[in-house]
Amino acid sequence: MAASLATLAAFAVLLAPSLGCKGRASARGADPAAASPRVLKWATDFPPNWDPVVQGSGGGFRVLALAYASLTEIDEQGNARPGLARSWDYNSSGDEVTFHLRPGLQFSDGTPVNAEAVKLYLERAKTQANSALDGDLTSIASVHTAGDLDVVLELTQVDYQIPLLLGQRVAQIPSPRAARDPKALNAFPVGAGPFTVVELVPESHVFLKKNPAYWNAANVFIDEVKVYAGVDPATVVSSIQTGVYDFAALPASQVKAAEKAGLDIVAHPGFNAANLAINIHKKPFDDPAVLLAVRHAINRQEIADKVTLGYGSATNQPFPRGYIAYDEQSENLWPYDPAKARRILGDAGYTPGQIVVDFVLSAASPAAEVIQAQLAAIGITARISVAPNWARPFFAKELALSIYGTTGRESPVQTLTAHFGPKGPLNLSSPFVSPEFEAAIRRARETPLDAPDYAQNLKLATRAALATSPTIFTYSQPTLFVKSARVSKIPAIPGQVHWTGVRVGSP
Amino acid sequence: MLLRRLWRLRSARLALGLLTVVAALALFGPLLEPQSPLAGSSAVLAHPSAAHLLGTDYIGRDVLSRLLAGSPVSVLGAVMVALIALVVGTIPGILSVYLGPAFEWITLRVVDTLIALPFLLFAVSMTALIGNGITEALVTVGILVAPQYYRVARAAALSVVRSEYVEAATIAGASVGWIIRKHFSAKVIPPVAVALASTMGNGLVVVASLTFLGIGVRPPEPTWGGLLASDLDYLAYQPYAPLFPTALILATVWAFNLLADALRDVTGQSGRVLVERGAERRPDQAAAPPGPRTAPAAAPGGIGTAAPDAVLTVDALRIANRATGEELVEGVTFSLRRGQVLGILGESGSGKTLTCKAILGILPPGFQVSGGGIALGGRDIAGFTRADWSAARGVRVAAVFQDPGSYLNPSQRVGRQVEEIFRLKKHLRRREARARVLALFEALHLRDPERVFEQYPHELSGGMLQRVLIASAIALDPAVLIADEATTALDVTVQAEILDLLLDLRDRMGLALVLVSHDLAVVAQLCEEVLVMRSGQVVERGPVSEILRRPRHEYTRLLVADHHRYGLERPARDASAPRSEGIEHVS
Amino acid sequence: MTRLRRSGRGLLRSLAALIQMLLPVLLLGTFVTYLLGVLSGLSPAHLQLGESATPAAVARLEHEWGLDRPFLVQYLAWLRGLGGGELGLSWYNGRRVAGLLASRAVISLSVAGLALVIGVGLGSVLGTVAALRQTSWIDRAITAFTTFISVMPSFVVGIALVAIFAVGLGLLPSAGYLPLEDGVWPWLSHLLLPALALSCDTVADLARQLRVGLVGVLGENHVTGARLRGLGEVRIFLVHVLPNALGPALTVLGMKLPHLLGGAVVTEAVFGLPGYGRFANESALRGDVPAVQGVLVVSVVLVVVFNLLVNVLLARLVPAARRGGSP
Repeated sequence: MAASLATLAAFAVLLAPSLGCKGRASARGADPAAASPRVLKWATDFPPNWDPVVQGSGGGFRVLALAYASLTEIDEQGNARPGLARSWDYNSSGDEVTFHLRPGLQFSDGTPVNAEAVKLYLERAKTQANSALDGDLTSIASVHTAGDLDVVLELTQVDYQIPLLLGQRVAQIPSPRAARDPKALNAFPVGAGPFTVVELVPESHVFLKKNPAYWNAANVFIDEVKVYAGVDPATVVSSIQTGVYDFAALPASQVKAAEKAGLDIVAHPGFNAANLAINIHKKPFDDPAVLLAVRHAINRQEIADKVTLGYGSATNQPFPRGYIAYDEQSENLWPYDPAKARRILGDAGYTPGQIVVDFVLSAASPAAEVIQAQLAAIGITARISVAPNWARPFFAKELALSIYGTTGRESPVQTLTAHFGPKGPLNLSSPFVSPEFEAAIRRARETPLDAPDYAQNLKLATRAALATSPTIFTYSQPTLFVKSARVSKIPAIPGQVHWTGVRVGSP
Repeated sequence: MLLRRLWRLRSARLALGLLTVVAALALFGPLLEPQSPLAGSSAVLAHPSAAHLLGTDYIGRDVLSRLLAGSPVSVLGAVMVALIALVVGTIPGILSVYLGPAFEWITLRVVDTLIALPFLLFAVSMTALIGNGITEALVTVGILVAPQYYRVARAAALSVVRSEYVEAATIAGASVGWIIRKHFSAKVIPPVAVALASTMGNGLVVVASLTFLGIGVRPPEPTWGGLLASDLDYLAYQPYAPLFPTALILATVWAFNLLADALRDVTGQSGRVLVERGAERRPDQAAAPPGPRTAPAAAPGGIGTAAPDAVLTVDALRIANRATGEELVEGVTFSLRRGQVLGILGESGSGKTLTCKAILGILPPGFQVSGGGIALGGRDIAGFTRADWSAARGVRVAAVFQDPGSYLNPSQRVGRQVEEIFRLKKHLRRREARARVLALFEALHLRDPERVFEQYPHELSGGMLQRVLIASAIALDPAVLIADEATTALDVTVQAEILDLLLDLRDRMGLALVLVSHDLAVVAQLCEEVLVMRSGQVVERGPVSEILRRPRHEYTRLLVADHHRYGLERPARDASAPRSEGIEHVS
Repeated sequence: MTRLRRSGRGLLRSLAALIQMLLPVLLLGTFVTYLLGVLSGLSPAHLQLGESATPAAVARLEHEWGLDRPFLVQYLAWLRGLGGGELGLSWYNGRRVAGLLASRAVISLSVAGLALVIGVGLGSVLGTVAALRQTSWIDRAITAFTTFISVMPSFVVGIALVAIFAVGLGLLPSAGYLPLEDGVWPWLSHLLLPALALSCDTVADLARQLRVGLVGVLGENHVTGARLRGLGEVRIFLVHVLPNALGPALTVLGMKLPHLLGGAVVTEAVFGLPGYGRFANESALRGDVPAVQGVLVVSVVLVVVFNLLVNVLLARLVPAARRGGSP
């Protein structure tokens, strides 16, 4: 009897603080002037690395962008805009560019944002053993500072893409002091971004609070951001609906559910495209006949329809129609013609079903199943397997067949070289490259962004690439997000998630 | 044999029927598909129609075909788990009994470890370590489920080894093979069969869970769990879609479990359980009983004028089987005053115990008072509520029965149980209650009452237990004590002690006693008046001396004669009667 | 006074016996886990080096992680770490596995704990009602119900609950987790649906076993005996029937924790809970061996401790079992 009373008492004591907490919160709410924090809850894929050098251009950069500020930004048309750098100028020959940083900025650990910090970052990105960015910085020969706020980049070639390149994906600048211990930096970010990290539990959540020292803090109307590691696609909609999260990526399969629930669906622009990655150094694709047959076997429209359920479109290029580098002339290079595909294989001496290839994926994918069926229709058996460590063999170019999708790049040249360049991380057939493409891409690189033939040069480079590249692009889909009504409109900056100007209403 | 008994159960027939359908699906499903389960079409996520009975999936494939195509993997996967577990578990289980203590210890520890591992978690982890195939996952699960078979097989093997049949058979020279075939199989196969059936059910759920998580799914081959996973992704388009794989999974698992339960019923307690259940069910199924077949002399629930100073009055009591209406006690009448000792004499089936139970209000559920009435201390018990009974039992009437130990809670010390009465009914504090209990034990001649107080029922002898029980019965000073075969299982000397004790109580407390027994000696020793019962009727009543010397009814005469025949003492008052009288009667 | 001392000694004795039984389990469990990890042939290289995975780099990395030492050396080092509460470092992000698991374990244990409470609570009520109303329609309805839910996979139940309570009625959130600091009800509301889904199996088994136990005890003479002594029905049930009927139910309960921990893998996937079931799933998919080993060891320890507790409880409540009587 006494024991049970004691237990009850203990319970009450334990519970009281939590109940008290709740009380305090509501007391706060009763007095709006006391500012109940404006909190944004975002569920997304959690980046495994917090050091921009290690994280690279993969999708996780969007979360890092909460803590880091990048050298440049882009606007809704995709043009470079000031970031940490308020301006930049090229020299007359176009092989040297100087960035002028904003004065008086600081990282969250107090170190100043200066040219030295940028220089150290770029050097580290080029040289650190596990850097994911060195392939993107081949144009940069060396970096030196000219004064406290001026960074001078000497380039290996004429390259006007640099301001586009040094955006959120490549040039999120961390504190140089923190960067002295890259391992620690990789576990906990120290930057000069719109928010600073308050609590970070890997693969679970990261909580951030507004950084008043951010260069654009005046336009940040969110006090706290809570990022949660990804949510099951089947429950995304209900999570937003019931207020667990405010913002999350929406798989195409859930759009209808989101509509039914009356949530806001954001079709966010992006220069992205999905592809079927083929390695011509591996069987069976070392036989050009097989490659050609596969080119004619893919029905892009079917893939686009079934995978994006109407929200995307077919494309045979690494970006959607309408993008500056999209080459209309190359649209129908290898039209869908399964009969022709079968004939090509037959003429090359293959019987239906003879060709068997391992189709290795990072995750289950309806697109892969559709492609599998399309290949089966021309007599190629593709065995799908989901590999836990897909990334390593993919980036090590060990796979014969896989699928991939990018979220685009700020610099069109970067997109093209990533997919088609000899060292391109997304070129499964590297070091394969055509000399025509190499010439064309150099030309594009050397064209100033405001030159009249800039767009044309890009298209020519695309054309050259597509003529020989074995990568088969399939469809493009704007990134779909779902948000609760509390969250105001997101700036439509392609491929990026920006929180400036976004307001979050009270729960 | 087993199958035949199984077939008689309706549930087993249902289960086997369902399982046959599922097995057919598993084996012939792929042949029944209306379309290829791999062929996509442009009608993506279409609703059920004539062309696609269950609709199409996210690539336009026919859902029904995919369900059918997925049957073999899912069902055979479950069977595989069960079989692996069977082999891995049963053999060590049986061997552990024969191969010595070291082997036994090792296997027991391994089994404990396996049980400690949560198998879904382990299976998922295995996929990281040994490969993402369904076979690897199933083997892992099979091994983790094996302990169940180990235990079952081991228990069965133990019971066989220690059974007398096998010892006898071995002595008789039967061959090992014959022993195995006859006894081993009979003991080992049934529980293993039960385990097999339920494991297959679990195995199916595990396969569904694993394929739901994506383990072992090789697109485009469908699996029931994999289908569920994709159904969930596209729930907004086809909210009904999860129903189909779920229904299949549930039906199959339910069938396995039904079969397991049926096997359990058939092999566990054998036919006895079924018969009892049937008997119990009949009262439920019958509508309100139409009334006993033989018309009662008086309406039930009525008692005539009770004698004013009677502590217990029974008036024309009739007790009938609720469902059949058959009367098992037909008109018992007697009345008891303070200090009076009444005996009820009869064999089993005479209705004497039912009568006692009616007086105590503990008639078994299938029986009811169909005529006459009972009054305790002047109060008619007919309308007694549970609270009334609670108040009356122990206070107005108490009882002790044969096998006293079974009437005590085996997990509590006996002292506490008697103490409970004082604390709850007289609201005494612990110390006082304990003192009262010890005094009672003392009064009932229990040696070392304090020690007895602390002991558990299984630590006491029959005689001591009966004393404890009597103590609990008289704790609240009841007016009547019913002793139904109270001394039957005890030694003769102890018997005498207990009977003396009862008389003592009668002398000291004025306790009225109802002594029920089949043993004439007991009745003769103590009672003043005797009722002789046979087949529910009172065949003779009267003072003890009369009954014994001049039995009027044939049955009584038989009882008395039997008693004399076995050389037992005639009652002292009757020493003068010639012996030959008894012998004549016997012939 | 003597009684307390006697029961205390008995408790210690049973505890010692149990520990003696369970320690080999712990050792064997950890050994097998570690062995499988080593046998898998996986290495941190695939997770950490990515594009720059040259054979030299791989060899260097494996040496850094001490993976080129002989098996027993590695195992003993790991075991020593275990003793100090260290579970190694994750290959995926280099963090302490113990740290990663700690916060997640709280979530999973909360769900499992709540599921256990619901399972025991609801299961007891159902089992009791079924036993007291034996063979009536209530009994049959309850039996049918428990059979039905025992058969339902927890993820199916989970989805159904989300559809009905979260999306349909809007009473409870469908996913995610809020810590206790945010208030008791928010915390509880996130755990209720997953706990309910996870508890189905426990409810069914407990109801069944309790019914069996109760029916057995209710038919026994000592219940009649207690009734004859004039005790009230409630008292009889609570003091004399229930403790003796708990045997089969408690035994079954002991086997439930592994099931609850395993079931967490699917429920957490459905409800988006950052618990360790999901952690195990993700680590397994990534091939992060130390993380997987850590999860397995923690589950083994949890199950062993839980079984210890259940056995002690069993011994206290059912003295006959303690004395080696039939279970």
